[in-house]
Amino acid sequence: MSTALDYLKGLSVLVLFQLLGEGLAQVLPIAVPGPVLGMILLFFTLRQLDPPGWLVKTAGRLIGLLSLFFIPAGLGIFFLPEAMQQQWPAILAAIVGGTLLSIALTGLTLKALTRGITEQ
Amino acid sequence: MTEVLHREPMDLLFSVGLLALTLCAYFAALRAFQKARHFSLLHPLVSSCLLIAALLYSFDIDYARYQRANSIFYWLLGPATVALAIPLDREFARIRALAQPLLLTLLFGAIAAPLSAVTLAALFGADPLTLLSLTPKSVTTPIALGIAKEIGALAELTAGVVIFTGVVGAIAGPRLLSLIGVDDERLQGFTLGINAHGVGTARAFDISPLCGAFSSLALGLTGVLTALTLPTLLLWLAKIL
Repeated sequence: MSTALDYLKGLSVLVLFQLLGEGLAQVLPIAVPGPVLGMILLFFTLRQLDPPGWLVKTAGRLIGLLSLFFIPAGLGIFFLPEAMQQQWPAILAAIVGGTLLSIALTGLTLKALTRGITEQ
Repeated sequence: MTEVLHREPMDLLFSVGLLALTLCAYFAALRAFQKARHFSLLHPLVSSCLLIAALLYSFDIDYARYQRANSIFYWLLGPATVALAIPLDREFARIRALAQPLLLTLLFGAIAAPLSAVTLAALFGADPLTLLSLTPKSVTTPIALGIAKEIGALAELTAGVVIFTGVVGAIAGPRLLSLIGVDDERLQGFTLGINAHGVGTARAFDISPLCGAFSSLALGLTGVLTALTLPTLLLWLAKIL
C-alpha cells in the first residue's frame, strides 16, 4: 500500500513539472516540448534540494519501462504512409546507414576530445 | 438503441484487450531478451513491435484503433521524460567533469546526424520533401514533430523515421561503438542520446544508470539545440542554394 502511495506521489510531482514545462513552452518562442522543459525545471530544482526516496523510486520505475512506452509509436514503422513506401530505399539508407555513420562519427569525435580525461 | 448498448461494452472490452496485448507482448519480449542474454536483435522494443504488428495484420485491426486503446503509454512518455532529471542530477558531477568535450561533440553531432542521413538519401535519389523530412531524425519525437511543422516537412514520415532511427541506434549503437574502440559507457551513453534520442536512452539505461544519465543529457540538449538551429539553418541554406 505504501508503495502504491509512493508511486502516486512520485507521478504527481513528475506530472506537475510536466505541466509547468507545458506552461513555459507556451511562453517561449521556440518549439521545445513541455516534458523536456519539465525535465530541465526539475533538474534545477534538484540542484537546490535532494529528491525524496519516493520520487527516486518512481523515476527509476518509469525509466525502466521507457521501452514499453515507445511500443505504440514504434509500431508506426509497420504502418507507413503511402508517400514513404515509394521512397523506401532512400529512407532505409538514411535510417540505417545514416544513423550508423553518425554514431561512429560522433563516438569517435567524443573519444578524441576526451582523451586523457576518461582514463581514470 | 440495443445495438449501442451492446456495442459500447464490447468496444471497451476490445480496448482493454489491445492494451493487454501491448503489456503481454512487452513482458514476453523482455523475458525472451533476458533468456537470450541480452542478444541485441531481440531488443524488447523490436520483438514486441514485430509480434503486435503481426497480430494486428492477421486479425485486420486498424493501427489507429490500436493507438487509441494504448494512448496511456503516449501519456506516460511525458512524466518519464521529466523523470530523466533524477539520474541527470545524480551523475551531474561526472557530467560536469566532461562538460567541454560533451558540448563540442553535441554541436558536431547535431550537424553530423542530419547531414549523414540527407547525404545518403540523396545518393539513393530521394525527393526534396523526403530529404527535408529526414533532417530532424535524431531528435526526440515531440521535438521532431514540432520542427517538421516549422520547416514544412511531412510529419508522418518524420515520425516513422525518428522511431526507426532510435531502434537502429539502440540495436547496433553499443556494439558499433565498442567495435571502433569507444568503450567508455559515459561516451557510449552520450553518443546514443545524440543519435538515437529516447529509444537509445532506454537502451543506455540497460547498460548502466551512468550510461543512461549521459544519454538523457544528450537527448535533451540535442533536442533543444536542433529546435533552435535547424529551421534557421535550412532557411539560410535554401537562400544560398
